[in-house]
Amino acid sequence: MKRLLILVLWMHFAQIHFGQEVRFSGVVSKNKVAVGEQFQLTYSVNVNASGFTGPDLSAFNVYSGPNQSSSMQIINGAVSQSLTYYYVLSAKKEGKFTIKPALLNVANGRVKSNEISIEVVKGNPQQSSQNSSKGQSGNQGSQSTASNTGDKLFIKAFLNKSSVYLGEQVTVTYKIFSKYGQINFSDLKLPTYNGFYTEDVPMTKNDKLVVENYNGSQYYTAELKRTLLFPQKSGKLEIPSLDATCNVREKVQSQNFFEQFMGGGYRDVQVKVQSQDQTITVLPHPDAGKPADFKGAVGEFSIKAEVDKSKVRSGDPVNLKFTITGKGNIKLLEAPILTFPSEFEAYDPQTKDNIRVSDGSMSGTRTFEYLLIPRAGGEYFLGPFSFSFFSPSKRSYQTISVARIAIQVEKSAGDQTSSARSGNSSAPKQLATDIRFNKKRVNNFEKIDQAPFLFSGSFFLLSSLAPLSLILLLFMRRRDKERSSNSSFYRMKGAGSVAQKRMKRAGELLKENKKDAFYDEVFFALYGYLSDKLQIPSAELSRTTISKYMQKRKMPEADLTELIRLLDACEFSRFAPAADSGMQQVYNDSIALLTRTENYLKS
Amino acid sequence: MRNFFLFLFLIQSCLVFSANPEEVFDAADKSYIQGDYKAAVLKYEQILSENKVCNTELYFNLGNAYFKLTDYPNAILNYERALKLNPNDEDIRFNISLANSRIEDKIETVPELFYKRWFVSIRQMASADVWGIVFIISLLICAACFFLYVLGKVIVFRKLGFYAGLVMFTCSCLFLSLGISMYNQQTNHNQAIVFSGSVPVKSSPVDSGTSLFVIHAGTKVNLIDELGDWVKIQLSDGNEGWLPLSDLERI
Repeated sequence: MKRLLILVLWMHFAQIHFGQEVRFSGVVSKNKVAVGEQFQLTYSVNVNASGFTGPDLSAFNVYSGPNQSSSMQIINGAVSQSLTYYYVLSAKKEGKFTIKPALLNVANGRVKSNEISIEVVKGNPQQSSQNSSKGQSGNQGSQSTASNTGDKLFIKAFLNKSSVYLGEQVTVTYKIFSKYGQINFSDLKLPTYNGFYTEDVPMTKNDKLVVENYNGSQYYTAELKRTLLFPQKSGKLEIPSLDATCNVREKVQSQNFFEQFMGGGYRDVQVKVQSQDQTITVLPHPDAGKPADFKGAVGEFSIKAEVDKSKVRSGDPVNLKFTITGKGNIKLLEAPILTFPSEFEAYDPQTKDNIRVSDGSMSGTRTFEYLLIPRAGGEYFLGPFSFSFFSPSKRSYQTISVARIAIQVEKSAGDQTSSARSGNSSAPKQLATDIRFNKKRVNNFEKIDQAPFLFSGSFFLLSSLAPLSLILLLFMRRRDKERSSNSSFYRMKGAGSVAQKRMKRAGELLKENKKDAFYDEVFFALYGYLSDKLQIPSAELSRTTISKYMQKRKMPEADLTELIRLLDACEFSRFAPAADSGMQQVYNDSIALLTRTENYLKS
Repeated sequence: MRNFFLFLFLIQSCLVFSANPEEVFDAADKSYIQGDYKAAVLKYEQILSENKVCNTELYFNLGNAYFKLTDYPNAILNYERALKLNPNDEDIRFNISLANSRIEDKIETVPELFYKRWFVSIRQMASADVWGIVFIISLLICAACFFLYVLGKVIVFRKLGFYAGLVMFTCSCLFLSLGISMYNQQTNHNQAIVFSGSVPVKSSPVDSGTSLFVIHAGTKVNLIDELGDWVKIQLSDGNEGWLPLSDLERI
């Protein structure tokens, strides 16, 4: 709108009014358009009018219109009016078209405008916002575009350096050079920079053109844009072009006297200008001598560290200000990682900036404020802190440091937590975790596939020792017990043979005719046999017990009486000296009885 | 006796190999301290591959070297092998837990029943061989007690012998079961460490099986079944599935 007013205004400076001659004319912004390309159709009239009837526009796409705008000027007492109707159109198909005249009602009847012919060609529709000027009266220089203005109007990009280090500042300045004294920018497309952090330098509001000599000719020049670039990656980076669309006033061959008289005819020309692409080489930071705490600061810096108080009570906060002052990529500085005593609780720093972007560089201060809370009493030192940056002018890394700051922390009496955490009773603070260290060598290497002892042969052998020995013990114990407790049984078993021995001896005594000894022997043979066999101690053995036991064993009655008779005979003959004739008889009978009894008891 | 054989074996191995395990072990430790973990790993592995001998210290130090190289699956594998030989070592457990905190999978272990936990914690106090020896000793004491019972002249001693014998017999049964349990744990290679960066666990032992979940390198799994080149695994949180055997390394 502003631009429109300007255009309208300067158009009217040159206008001379010869009364109210009605001029109703139509123009198109381009006489030759591509299919689909937008263009503007404008009808102007210099008197008050109404009832505009537009032409038949069925061959075109109508984006908007008819739009109406009007203006009025009073110059030197003369009132001039202008009324504009315009359409925004695009062509549907190629070919030559004629737009029929439009009709308008004015005070003295209807007026017709001129016919307009337009050529539509095939081609890439240029959809870029071709802002056409809006109001234009017919006799004055008509609006058109100039595709080539040659070296009369151009934009150049200036870089102050062609090769920089990563993060080093480079300034790009776009300047317009023009032979025309008056330029209106209708469209300024600023480039987008890939791989750069950018900072625009604010322009002083001075649109005046300066006369400068360039390549031997005089140009009007103006600075369009100045930007500080901080490359963020190394390699060849492209600085894209700046596009601008300008309206310039071009002198044309005068068509009539009046125009010549007033300084010639002019027409507005729309010019698209573009600066050339530029490339810049970005060098990476050298690896040699790179400090461990280097975090990409490039420029010239100085640091300062201060605390707001040097004497605090434990639990009260302390502010540490770490200030970096200098020139360079200061807006990109990260907070340095500062280490504080472990008794201090540290919070993430707050960043405060005081940065100016002046003509050539970015400079100022960036302050990191650390909030620290001491948890234990004592005297502590903060720092020394250091800061590393790369200096492009010296082409080397610089590390600057500040002296340590002493802080006296008083133990606060009421603070339970702080007193619990301080002092000797507190557990040592875990700083980091790591694996336990290697074990010492012990020479107990085992073969990888060694069979285990468990379930091996020797294991079974050893484990069977205990039960086997127990079984052996029990077995032996049992035999011993049998032997010691069951001797009567052996006597019973051997009773027969004992009696046999005694009877053998009795036989010898019989031959020697020793009567007393013979009867003794026979008696003890019988008696002993019964005692052993019936398992009765000889003291308890009497005739009644004998008969009782023998009856129990179901001994035949005859044998029992025979036994009693023999025993009686032996006992009797010991005291009666005669009757030796029975000796042989007793001997034979005893043997027979013993044999019978033995057989009987055995069965 | 066993030590004697071991001694003989060591002498023999010294004769056969120019570098005996002790020297290599010391050299590896030296490399480790100097921070040359790669060399340390190579030397420890040399003892395992050439001398075919091992002990818990060797596996532990090898695990440490792998840990420093941030090769956590190998570190965990060797720590677990060390733990298998010496199940009650606090250092090994600590390093395993630290290594486990560095791997991708953090699997929650389902807590076992208290008596099972007790049994395992008692079992871990000694190796299977030690349990075997303890079993034999307790059996011998048991036999001695019964001797006292059988041969004792005083009734008090006989009674004492009988009851002490019963107690010792129960104890020896317990020791044997601990030993068997430990034996199974030490000889069965039914645990493994995942070695592939990330593996989908399948629902069936074929490549086309449904992927149930994904596990990452360093995770310990229990092997519960085998079919061809596939194993059925169980995680410590109870999830089961099939994996190709090539993605695992048995402990």
